[in-house]
Amino acid sequence: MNLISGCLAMSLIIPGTIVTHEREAQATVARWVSLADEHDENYSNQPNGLANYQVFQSEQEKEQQQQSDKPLDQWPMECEGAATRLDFAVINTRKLEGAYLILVARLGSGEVSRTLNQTRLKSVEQYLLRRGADLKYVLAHGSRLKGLGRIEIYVGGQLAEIMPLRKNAKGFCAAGRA
Amino acid sequence: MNPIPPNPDASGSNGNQEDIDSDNQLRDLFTDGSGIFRAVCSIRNLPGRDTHYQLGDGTVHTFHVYADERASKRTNLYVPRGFSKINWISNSTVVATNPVTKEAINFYHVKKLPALPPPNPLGSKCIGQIGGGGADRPGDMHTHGTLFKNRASRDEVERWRMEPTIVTEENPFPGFPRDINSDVADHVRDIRSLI
Repeated sequence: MNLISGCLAMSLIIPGTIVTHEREAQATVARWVSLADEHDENYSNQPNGLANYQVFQSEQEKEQQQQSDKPLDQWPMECEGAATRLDFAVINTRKLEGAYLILVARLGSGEVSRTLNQTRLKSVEQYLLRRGADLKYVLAHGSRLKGLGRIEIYVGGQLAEIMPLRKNAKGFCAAGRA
Repeated sequence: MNPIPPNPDASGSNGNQEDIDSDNQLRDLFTDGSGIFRAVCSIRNLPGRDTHYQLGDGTVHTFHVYADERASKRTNLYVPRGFSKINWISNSTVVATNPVTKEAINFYHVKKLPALPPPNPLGSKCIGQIGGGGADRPGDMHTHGTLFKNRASRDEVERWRMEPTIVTEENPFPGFPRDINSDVADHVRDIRSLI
């Protein structure tokens, strides 16, 4: 496949299978835990409003400083950010006749599980399959990186997105609670 | 400052002026007028198909609010005047209910503010800022909202949506939450009805 350029050191390629139906998780339906602890709050009525606001401002400044220091590829992508990137990758792949969407999973520092890349790719594949069966895609394992592991998205042979994951995370989304 | 590329959703639209105008009217309802509102004009929509924002029948149930095209800043988030019952479900999830129509808006990724500013020019009440938990990474800062028929519909659909994230023997890793789709169409309302 000429879409996979020499710069991708792939150790294993799993052919993308075209499936027409989403495999639904057979989770037992349980009450989402956060529904249980709802409460009314009115922040404008809180005491010490000024002191709280000063703490808030200080936190905001600290956060801005972190943003400027931290490379984006070392900042784990959240669930919805990954879903947005995958949606756009599907849309852009479909625009290119005959193009493949290629997802390359790479382990990061301190990640040793042999199955981690496969689990991450499986999670992403399940999401892709929700967007229809007409997509041509390839899932691949790439070489290890320093820092956070990631999934790279290639559309039409071009690197489109880098999606970093939390160390040893099985996917982009946090586990829900039963 | 790190170069943060434009967020693909925030930085583009489908180019349809009617859709853009509709989203801009909703922007004025949900922000101080300075944000970016993506719902019917999002490029993520595919005509005739269920997508993140809309159903195949055209019902636009979900929206995102961004502060800028790079989704790297925060802006205040407002809720339309009639939605006077505000419930914080968790640190970043808010349900606003209209006691008259019973409709409920579920907001994810809301950041609490220590003091709230006055209502916006359309009378919407500020509930916090965008970019709360789950959407605080530079490049992805947003708030995600959905209009439901009522609070019970919200609870039912959100439980269903989150099922793939629950780890079980049959589901060994947390998957992506489901998108709202035509199977739960009865529970959602078109966000444009608020204009």
